[in-house]
Amino acid sequence: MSRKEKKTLAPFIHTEKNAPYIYLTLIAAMVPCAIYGAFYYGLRAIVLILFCMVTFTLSDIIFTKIAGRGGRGEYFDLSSAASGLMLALVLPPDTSLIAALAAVLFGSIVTKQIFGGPGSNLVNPAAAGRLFVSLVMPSSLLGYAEGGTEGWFMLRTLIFGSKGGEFHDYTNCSFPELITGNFPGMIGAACATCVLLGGFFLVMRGSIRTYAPIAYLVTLTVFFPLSNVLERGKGFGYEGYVAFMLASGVVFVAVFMLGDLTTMPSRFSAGFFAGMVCAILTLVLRAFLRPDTALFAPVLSVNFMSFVLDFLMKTLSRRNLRSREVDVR
Amino acid sequence: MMTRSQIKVFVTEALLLAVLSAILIVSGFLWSNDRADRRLQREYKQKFGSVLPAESYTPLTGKVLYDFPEINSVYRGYDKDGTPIGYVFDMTVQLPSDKNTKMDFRIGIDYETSRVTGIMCEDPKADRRLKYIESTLKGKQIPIAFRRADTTVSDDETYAPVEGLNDGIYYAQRLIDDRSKFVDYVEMEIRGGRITRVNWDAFNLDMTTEDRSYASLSGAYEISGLDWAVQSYNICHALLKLQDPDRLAMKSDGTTSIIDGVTCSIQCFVDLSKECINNSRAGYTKDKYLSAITRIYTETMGTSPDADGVRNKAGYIAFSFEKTPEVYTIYDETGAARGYKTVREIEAELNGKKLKSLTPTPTPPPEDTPDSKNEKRNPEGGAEDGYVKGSGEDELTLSESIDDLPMSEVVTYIYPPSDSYTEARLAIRAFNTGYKFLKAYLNWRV
Repeated sequence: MSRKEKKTLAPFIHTEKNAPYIYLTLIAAMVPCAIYGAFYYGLRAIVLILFCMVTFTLSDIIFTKIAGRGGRGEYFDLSSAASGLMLALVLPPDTSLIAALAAVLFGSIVTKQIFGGPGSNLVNPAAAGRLFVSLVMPSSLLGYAEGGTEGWFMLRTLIFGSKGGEFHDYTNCSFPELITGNFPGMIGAACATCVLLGGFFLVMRGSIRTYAPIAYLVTLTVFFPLSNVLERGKGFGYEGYVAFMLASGVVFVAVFMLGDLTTMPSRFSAGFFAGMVCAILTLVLRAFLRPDTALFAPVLSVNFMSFVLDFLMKTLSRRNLRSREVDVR
Repeated sequence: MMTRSQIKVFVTEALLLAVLSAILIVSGFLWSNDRADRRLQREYKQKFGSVLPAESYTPLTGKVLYDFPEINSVYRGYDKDGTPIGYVFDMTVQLPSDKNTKMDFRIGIDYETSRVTGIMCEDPKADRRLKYIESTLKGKQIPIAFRRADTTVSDDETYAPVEGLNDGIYYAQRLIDDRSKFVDYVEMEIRGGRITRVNWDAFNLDMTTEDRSYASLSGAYEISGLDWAVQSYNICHALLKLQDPDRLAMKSDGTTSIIDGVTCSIQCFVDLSKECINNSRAGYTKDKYLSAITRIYTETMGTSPDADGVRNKAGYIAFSFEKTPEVYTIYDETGAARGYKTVREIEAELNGKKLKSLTPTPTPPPEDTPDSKNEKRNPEGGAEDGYVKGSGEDELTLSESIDDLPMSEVVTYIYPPSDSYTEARLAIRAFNTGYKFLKAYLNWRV
């Protein structure tokens, strides 16, 4: 093949659900969450969302050029923009641009580019970037502000960040506040209604694997009393369950991170198992770590083990077969 | 690849999703916002009610907040009518000498009088120890410093005279004029350790113009409310009764509400009265003062005031030093003005006595003298405690500072508790930081 010959996608792939379609669907599904963030937190949320999307895309493009990899138009698949948007939605509204940039660069370079670019990343870049900042710059991610129209035009926090704060106790919130996201939370992950709306859209467009999210939410429900015992020393019961499910961000994690086609297991049994493990880790870690760390660290754990799980499940399913042919079931 | 019709369907669905979510978000906000407001106020009351009982609270925002890293958040409390009643500070304070010693405080400060309304600590053990501090400070005006144990002060503050006063006639005047070219002065007579006569007036740089009190009575000098001369008389009378300028309850805007008929700013009177009191403590009589200011004029201008004709009939120097601010201004290391020197300080400087206040330098560790034993009780020692030293001429109160505040601004002094010194010191730092914030936020004049 001559050097001038044009590189194109393999001609035998004929599907409308290619990478740009899947990521475009993902972005569209996150639009309700972005609208929620813009409505409740105003300009600073809009700037953070756009900043993360643009810098994530630029970082991917620049790193690819530096590495001498990448073909033309590689990043028109919108994966970078989708990761940037997802990252912005899990940041507190009073996050500084410096903290957001640190999360973007870690998510883009360390978790995505070093492993080979789009589709090759082992872990979710948004979750990794968010976790990285919460571990190395913990005070920069405490800007959980009340939403509303008062601070709509405030941009100061983009430079100075938050003056420090604390994680909100969601158990004080009424059900209408919880279901509408009218409490201090992450930019886009606080409104369970919007997240579920986005999830419904993904299911409708066939751009999500549902078994890990369902296993995650079901396991959280079943084992929630364990968390109550570990975390608060309370009795074995469902006190605070509704607040936890609607306000802690687990619905966002379930829909947009555990339903990911790249980083989660592709087989039903492996995905179901990964969802369960993620839920149990979340409940256990809640008792010992910051709420945001306990939310995103399990996602990375199951991301790391997803290819092992896939391999294991495949081997188990073929244990009675003598042929070494590819299992097509 | 998607066909054109598939793209159309996708875009339509995505738009529908966005519109539907926008409707849900707005209607959800309207549905839940009242509950969210009530919940928020409930949480605020739970958190701040013990330090500032208020009907509602609103957080303060602004760039100035970022200049005070120890302050996490500030709230303004309102009563039922929506009238502001005070401020609540949520802060993490650390000892200046030990950055690892930190404590989380919530403090309340009254809106009108900047008096302490309450204090609480996140740490329950420290909070119990702070009860002494709270009971001592509640109702006292900020800023605050520790008083040395060997100075005596009457606990009942009802008209007890200021301690350490020497009998005689004392005098202080401003070194710059006001907008009407009047130079304020206060003359004070001390007998038996009490203030027995006070006169607040102002002479004009134009010697043909009568003094302010006469000008106000003749109608040449007008202010809102009663004549200035009447207000001056009232405030002087109040000082005779209260015996201490700090008891005049001067508010942040320089006025007071405890003296009937006084609506003008009493800032100048309070400052000059304090200077007279300090002069009295140092035995710095009116004669010494006037000869000192004559010398300052001579050294600054190169000629004598009599030659320049700036001495008026009463013998005062009717001159404004505003064109030579270096004479009376205290600068910090960055060159920013930090305060004003008194005539006594300027004279001491001319005599070659470098007072600490004039050259802000780190306070040296306490020497091993019998007098410093009390200071060694605590881990910090030195000036940062705000310990007030003796009343000798060279040991001016102004020569020290606490939490970057000159001691001349300190209004309240308390005894350091022996069993919980660190907590008390941190609490004082919290209040003084709150004072500095309010000063910057509200543009208080000092």
